[in-house]
Amino acid sequence: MADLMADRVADRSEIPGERIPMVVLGGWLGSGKTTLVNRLLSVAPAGERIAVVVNDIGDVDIDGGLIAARHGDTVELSNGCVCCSIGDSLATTLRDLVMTDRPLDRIVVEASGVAEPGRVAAYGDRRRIRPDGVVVCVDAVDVVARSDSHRVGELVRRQVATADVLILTKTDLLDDGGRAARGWCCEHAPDTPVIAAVDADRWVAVVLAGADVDDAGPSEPADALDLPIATRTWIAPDGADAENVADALRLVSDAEPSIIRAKGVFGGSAVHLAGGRVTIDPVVGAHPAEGRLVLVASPDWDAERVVGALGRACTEMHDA
Amino acid sequence: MITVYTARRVHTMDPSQPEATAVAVRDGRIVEVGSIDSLQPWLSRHEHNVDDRFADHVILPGLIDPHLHPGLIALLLACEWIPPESWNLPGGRVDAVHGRDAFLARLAEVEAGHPAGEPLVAFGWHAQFHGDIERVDLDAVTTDRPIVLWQRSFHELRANSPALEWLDAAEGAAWDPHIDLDRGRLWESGMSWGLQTLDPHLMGDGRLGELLEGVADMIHRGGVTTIADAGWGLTDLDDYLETLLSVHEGPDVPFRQYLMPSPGRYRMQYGDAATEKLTEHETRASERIRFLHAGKYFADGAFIAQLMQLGDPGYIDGHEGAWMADPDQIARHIRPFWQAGRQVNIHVNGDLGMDAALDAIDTVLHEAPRFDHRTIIHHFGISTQAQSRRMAALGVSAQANGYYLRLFGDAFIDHWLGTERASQMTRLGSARRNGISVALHSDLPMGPIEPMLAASVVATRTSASGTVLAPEERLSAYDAIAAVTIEAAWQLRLDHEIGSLAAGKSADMVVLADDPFETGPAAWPDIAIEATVMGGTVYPIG
Repeated sequence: MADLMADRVADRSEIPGERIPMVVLGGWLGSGKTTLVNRLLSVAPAGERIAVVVNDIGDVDIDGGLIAARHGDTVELSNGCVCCSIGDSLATTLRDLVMTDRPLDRIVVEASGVAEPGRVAAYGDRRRIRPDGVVVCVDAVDVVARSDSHRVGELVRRQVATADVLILTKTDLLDDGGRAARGWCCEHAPDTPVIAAVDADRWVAVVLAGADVDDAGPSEPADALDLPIATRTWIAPDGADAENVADALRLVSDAEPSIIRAKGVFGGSAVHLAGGRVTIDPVVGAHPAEGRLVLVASPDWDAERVVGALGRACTEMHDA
Repeated sequence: MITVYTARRVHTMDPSQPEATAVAVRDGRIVEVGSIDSLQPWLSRHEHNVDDRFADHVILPGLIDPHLHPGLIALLLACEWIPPESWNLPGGRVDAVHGRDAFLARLAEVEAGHPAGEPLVAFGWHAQFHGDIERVDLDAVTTDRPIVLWQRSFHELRANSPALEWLDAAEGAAWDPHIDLDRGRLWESGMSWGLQTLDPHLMGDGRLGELLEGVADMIHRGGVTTIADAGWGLTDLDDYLETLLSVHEGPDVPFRQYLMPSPGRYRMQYGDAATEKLTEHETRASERIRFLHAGKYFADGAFIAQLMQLGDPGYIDGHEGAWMADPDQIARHIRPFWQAGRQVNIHVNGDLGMDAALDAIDTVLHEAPRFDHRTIIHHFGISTQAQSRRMAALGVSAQANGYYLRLFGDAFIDHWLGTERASQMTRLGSARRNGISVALHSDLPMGPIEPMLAASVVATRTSASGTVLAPEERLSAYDAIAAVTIEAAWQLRLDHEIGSLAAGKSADMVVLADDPFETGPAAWPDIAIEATVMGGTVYPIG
């Protein structure tokens, strides 16, 4: 019996044929996911048949002129796209979308605002669907405050950490043009490209590019930022602990006002620089970036001078 | 015609006349409570008969369970039961089973007695009590028929090899990451996949009606005369309401049932027509099926699944809870019902969930102040002393599942929360000291529908191992009985009708073989329930 089951599974996983790419769209409530979905459905490139799975189709404002048919929670659009609600189970929704005669080029799944998009992405790693990246919208207006909330901060940070690409939204509403939020993104997802654009059409290109961030727009991801900001990772000397790094950072940041934020984990404790203050917080569990300090600064900074000063200060503290 | 029921003692739960020996009833309502002597002004002028069949017994107001789920328990009644605690089911009492060997032995016994060729679905397995049981273990019981274990906290199925075939689990695994064929596990949305086969098997061919009759029997034997289905519905709301109206209506049904809508559920089924449908449903209320002018909302995840949201210092193992709704948006969710004068009920389990709920209530209260809003926190798992005072200040009441303390208290101390916080779960003593209304619910099928057991647990605070958890948080015997009678009625905004025995109120009573105020709370679960009276009609038990 057991062997029979195993054979059956193997057979099914090897069914030939193109797997449909699936992008997960995550981000906190109000971060711009629905705006993006609306835009995506109305400006989908000709011939691109996209299925968009949303939490609540009632929230999606589909142009009436585009609606070709509506049955229950599924809306067929005249441009070949289809939009439906997740319903009871994402697995059965995906199966029902895929196992019809309707050809699909791409699936976009909107994760709930309180979901971890990485968990949703696991539905893409299956027989007929392949994962094609996690795009997370970040609300520039309130992400920093929200991430400090004792209630939801942890979840907001995890959402951002699982993203392949971050879209920074609402930057036009801020005096600093989203610079603080941008810095926050660099701190919490140092290796993740951030697309800051107020134009939703630009976001659509990011979603359609999925994991292939390079196809997302006219420029390179790390430099595609519309905000002037610079980042640099500094590796602490061996044996330096959180106290040493924090003291060094205090010393150096006092002399280098160009440093906006910094964060790193050393010996199980996180060192933060934010708002001109350096703090040390405990970290639960192992941290992959142990020993590295990510610095975010204004673009005119002298990165070499800063990391040189940090290295010297840290070594002196450690030796002392 | 007046009927006078006499008793060894009547506990009225009305502080103006706490004890009596006779209750006079006419047309389903109480004419007067007192003694045969004190009733004479009525009895000398009206035709009456004295019914002394309860003369050796003790009468209390009919018990109230203000939060349960008849649809869910109906589904489970179609399963075999191997639970970690004893249950009073329509077919008789099912004993608790503890330990892995005992569970597997019981499963083999049940399997041997199960009709040939029928899949076996057993409810009640819980790793904490029964250890890990996987496909290979279930295959050792039999591979001649499908065996499915449905986990006690509803989050998971375990299946043997034929059951994986039956549930089409290999196909499911092609779409859902939460199916593990090797181990025979289907969890979270993987369980939903399995339910596509299980639901019609358990409930198909109009079986729901028959199963709901079994539920009615359980409610009756718990001594319960009024229930509220919090967030009512099972699958399709129209179909379910239709079934309820045909099964739980009529003179044979010994309880009244109040339906509390969940706006989220209405919106999921009816979209923009949700409000219209709710209004339409409300017009279909009948004698025994009625609607509460209320709504059910959610904050954090389940206590029973360790998904409640905790503030510092969190869970011992560092895992995170879950939010059932954006905690910063609860005010937005409750605002329409709040402003429409409906009662707001929020499902809250952890202290972080409590903060979110209380913040939301604070917000809507400032926007649109209301008197007598009777907002209720449901479940009331882990909370702080400060939150008790804040609840009191905001006029918010507590409705607890006291039963969790019995079943999960030990595990929450040892594995999840540590001694201080786990001992103080279900902080009802603090709530009462702050003048907060306290009621108890079973949340059936989360806990058994035995209000006298729930009251006993919160009055003794003894866990399954016999440990007393924070005796300072006990309820007095009176408050514990009040929590399943008059306080539950008050929380349903029905205290003018039910919950205590006084002139003019509905003649709803429970008849006990012993006096709970004499036996003490530890003995309450063992007091035989002889009968209930609902709207003046006697419904004998057994």
